[in-house]
Amino acid sequence: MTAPLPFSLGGSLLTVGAGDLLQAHLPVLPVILPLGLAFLVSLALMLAPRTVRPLLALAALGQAASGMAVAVRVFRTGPLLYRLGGWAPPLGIELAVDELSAGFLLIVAIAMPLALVHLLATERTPGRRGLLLCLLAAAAAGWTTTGDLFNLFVFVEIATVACVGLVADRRDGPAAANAFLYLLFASLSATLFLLAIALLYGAAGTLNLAHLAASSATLQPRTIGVVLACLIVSFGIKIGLVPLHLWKPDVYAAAGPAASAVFSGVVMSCAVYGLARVALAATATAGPHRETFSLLLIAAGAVNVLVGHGMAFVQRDLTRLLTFSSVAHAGYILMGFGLGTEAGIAAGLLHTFNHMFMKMGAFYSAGQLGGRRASVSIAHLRGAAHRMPFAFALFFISALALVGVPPTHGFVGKWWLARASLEQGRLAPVLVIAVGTVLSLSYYARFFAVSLRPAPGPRHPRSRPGALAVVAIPVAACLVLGFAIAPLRPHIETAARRLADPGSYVRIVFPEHP
Amino acid sequence: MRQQAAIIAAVALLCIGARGVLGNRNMIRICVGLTLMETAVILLLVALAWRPDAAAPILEPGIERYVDPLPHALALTAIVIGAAVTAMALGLTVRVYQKFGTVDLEEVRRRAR
Repeated sequence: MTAPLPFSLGGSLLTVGAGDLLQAHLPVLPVILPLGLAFLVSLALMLAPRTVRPLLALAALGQAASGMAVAVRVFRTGPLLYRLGGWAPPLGIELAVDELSAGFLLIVAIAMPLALVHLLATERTPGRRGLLLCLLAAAAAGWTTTGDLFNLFVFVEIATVACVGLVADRRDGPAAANAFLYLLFASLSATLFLLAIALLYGAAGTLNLAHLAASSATLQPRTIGVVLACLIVSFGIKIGLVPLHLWKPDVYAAAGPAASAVFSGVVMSCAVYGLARVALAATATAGPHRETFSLLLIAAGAVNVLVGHGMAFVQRDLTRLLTFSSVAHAGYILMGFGLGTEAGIAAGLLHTFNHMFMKMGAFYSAGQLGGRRASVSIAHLRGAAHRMPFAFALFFISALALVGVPPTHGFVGKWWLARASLEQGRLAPVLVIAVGTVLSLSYYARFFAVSLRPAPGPRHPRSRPGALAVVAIPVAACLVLGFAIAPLRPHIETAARRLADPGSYVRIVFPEHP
Repeated sequence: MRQQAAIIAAVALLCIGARGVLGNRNMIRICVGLTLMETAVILLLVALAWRPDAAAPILEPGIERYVDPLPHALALTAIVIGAAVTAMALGLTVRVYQKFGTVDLEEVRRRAR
């Protein structure tokens, strides 16, 4: 998208057709559609509550369509550049959507509309949560596509505000205190990120990510070290890097399964993208730092897998169990990125994509099993398989995907990761994967045993078929993708190459870069 | 020299703020700590923009040297975001106080369990 962009909407509508206009502004649509609709929803909540549902449905449709259109176009014809307001890179902000961004945008454009549809199917008054989900959808889309550091910071903060709102929205019990806890850690994370941005700007004199990667050779090694430390802690808080994960279980449990699905499926994926994108731009040419960073990621990933699965093993609450499972799965993803090779990064990317589907399926079906309560005690689920066979089946399949049992796509992700680390002659990640798989199999088996035991448990209100149908979407994806990953493989590898070779990202924005 | 002093002050403020956030259970004190940390980074941004003998980045006849305007734009945005986040944190504090009658975060979390 290097063509000059029309400044006045009215004038260009007369000269070019609406279709051309949509094409020209396509990259910004996944951001502005949900953002604009979030404002409309807030007006509708006050003035015309009846229009809230259609507006939320429109937001879901709009973001799914525009996000997927952007991603498909990037994978078909190559990276897109969009200059906001027509201003060129050194002064202006641009959206730079390469294959890596497109992959993460695809995650957002599938997960956020799914969350909105799930909300519409399960809640009678979806207004406020829907508004927050729209805001989060806009922020997450911007987060994954922007080519500017400070713009990234702004989107991260919008996402934080939306997430805090989602935690605080549950009126029962400790919601406000846990929302405060989330805000506290998110603010620490934001301050460290802003500090990293200030240091990078002070050293390199630019906020454009591609420009930064191009001029990273001029950075002092000490500056890069401090910046990397800030970035790891900052995004580590959001990813749940052990020991920065300690806030997560309480907050997720207070927010309930539906919000946790979004936190775990979308916000965590975006944080992984943010860390990978910024850290690799800052270390684009600094060889030793890249190696240290890679080793650190592998080690942190391994610790995350072991601690996450170990803690999940001793949980008595299903939401907490799944939260610790997210911590563990973040570990698999980080190990993949840490390997640094194309195959390793591709495995990390695939697992991020897979994890979104399986965790949304697992959290949503856990919500159905728990009957709209925030906490889903495993002991209370005695006999659940008999009382709620469909919800149980959906959870069962998601859990199999989380464990990595073939033919689910969870197996494919772990298989890629194990193969990539063996290719590099690293045995430790494979052992960690094996231990993690055994641990997770045992804690899900314990849960299955409890829920299969015949017991006249408390009668729940029956789940609505519509809600179950929505939950079935990500679960079906777990099964379908298990067979259909092969055609996606070249695209995932192209995306991985963007990270493995930072110069290729620079060349999107500055074609003359060597 | 002046720039270095500002940077040292920013780092000191950052440490004081972090101590306030991490070493307190009182939610209002935590809010104060968060605000201090924000301010520290904003001060750092302004210090980075500083050039010797330069004027504020407003185009006026007769003035040749300007400080770097970009960090100022960042600082403004960061102040706005900081204000919004602080308002939210204080709002949550009020809600916690109304519900539990205390602003001790640990106490609230223990009681909520």
